[in-house]
Amino acid sequence: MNELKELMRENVAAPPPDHLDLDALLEAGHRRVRGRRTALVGGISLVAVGAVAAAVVGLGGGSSPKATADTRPEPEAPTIRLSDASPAVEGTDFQVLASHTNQNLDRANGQYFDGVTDDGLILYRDGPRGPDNFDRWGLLDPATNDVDWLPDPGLGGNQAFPIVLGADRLVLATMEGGLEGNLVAHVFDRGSRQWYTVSWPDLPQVGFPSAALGPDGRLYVVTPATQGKPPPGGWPTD
Amino acid sequence: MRRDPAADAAFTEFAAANRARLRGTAYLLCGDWHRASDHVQEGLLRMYVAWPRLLRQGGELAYARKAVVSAFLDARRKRSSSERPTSAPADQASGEDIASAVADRDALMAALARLPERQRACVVLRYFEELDVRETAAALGCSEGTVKSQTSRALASLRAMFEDASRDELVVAGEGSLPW
Repeated sequence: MNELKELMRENVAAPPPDHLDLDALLEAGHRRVRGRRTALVGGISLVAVGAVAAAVVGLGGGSSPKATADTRPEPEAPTIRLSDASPAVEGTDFQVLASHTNQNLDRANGQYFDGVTDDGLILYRDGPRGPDNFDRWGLLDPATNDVDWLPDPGLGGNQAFPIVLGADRLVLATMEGGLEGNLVAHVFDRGSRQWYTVSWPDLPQVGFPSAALGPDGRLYVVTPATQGKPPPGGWPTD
Repeated sequence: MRRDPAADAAFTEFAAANRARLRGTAYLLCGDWHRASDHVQEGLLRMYVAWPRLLRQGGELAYARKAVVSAFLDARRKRSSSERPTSAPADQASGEDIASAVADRDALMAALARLPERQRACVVLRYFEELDVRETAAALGCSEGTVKSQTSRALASLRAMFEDASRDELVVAGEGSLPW
């Protein structure tokens, strides 16, 4: 008679030597984390370049350090240095963290990856679905494919755009009242798992989607200085 | 990224303490010690990314186990070839009883290799890692009902394969108390 557990234990009882180098493992872990953060910071900085134009609104951040005449000026932006680079691998242009294919967008409106958090989770959007046509949001761990579904952010069916995907908080932006409405930031505190909203009723009309978090913890948005309007009597037809 | 020496030290300590156990699990899943080492390394790397969160929330070993199983399943999806069971070291196979014991162990590895990956994972997690149905479902990211049905099918297949190979009957200790 053969007992399954015993046979399994016997099969692993005399393994060959393990050559796993823990120091090398730690280094590789650092590189993997740094690679994810660098990719995210690069994405944010690209958006910020176009958005610094007109308006700055506070999002609970501090003030930016000012360079004085006797100090070396530091860039007020996310900065990528050569020391952040990891060795290239020929034939490998990028690393796939996770993938998902929507097989039938007609049956249900699919699932989408909406960015990577600073601690390596993927913001996962499921929907819109159900009679109320709402999105469901979660954080997917690419190591296990587990989705941690977040409480309902109460977006009311508005389309949301992720702005901040931090280890401590997430920020999604919506326009309430349509594309000419008011900007609302929906902030998810990952520690307390609570959503709250921040809005700026006095803010001039905001071009959307254009919000980006600056290095000073403020949200930078574009407010058009001039806008074309139809002349009295309408646009000329000749 | 700023390094956190205390967190790194805790991670290294965890990896050193658990890598042998994780490697055994990976070996039973893939049937190859070198590939098992690769799966453990990949699993630990994935774990390192989540390490600050795990230090806050706990559940490090469960996460590591899950990451190694995921690394195995991901690697299987990428591979077109299937694993083959490895032979036991030659210096262990001497004498009729030992030869028979080695043959039984080989028969198990061959039978495991012929199971679908998720059935194999169910068997390894349930009977080697000794996880219960709920823990196995959590490790595989599936329902408890799926774990029960996959395990039941896997055990039936393993028994049939032992019978076909003219090996002694394969039994599971305490099977009478299993929830199916």
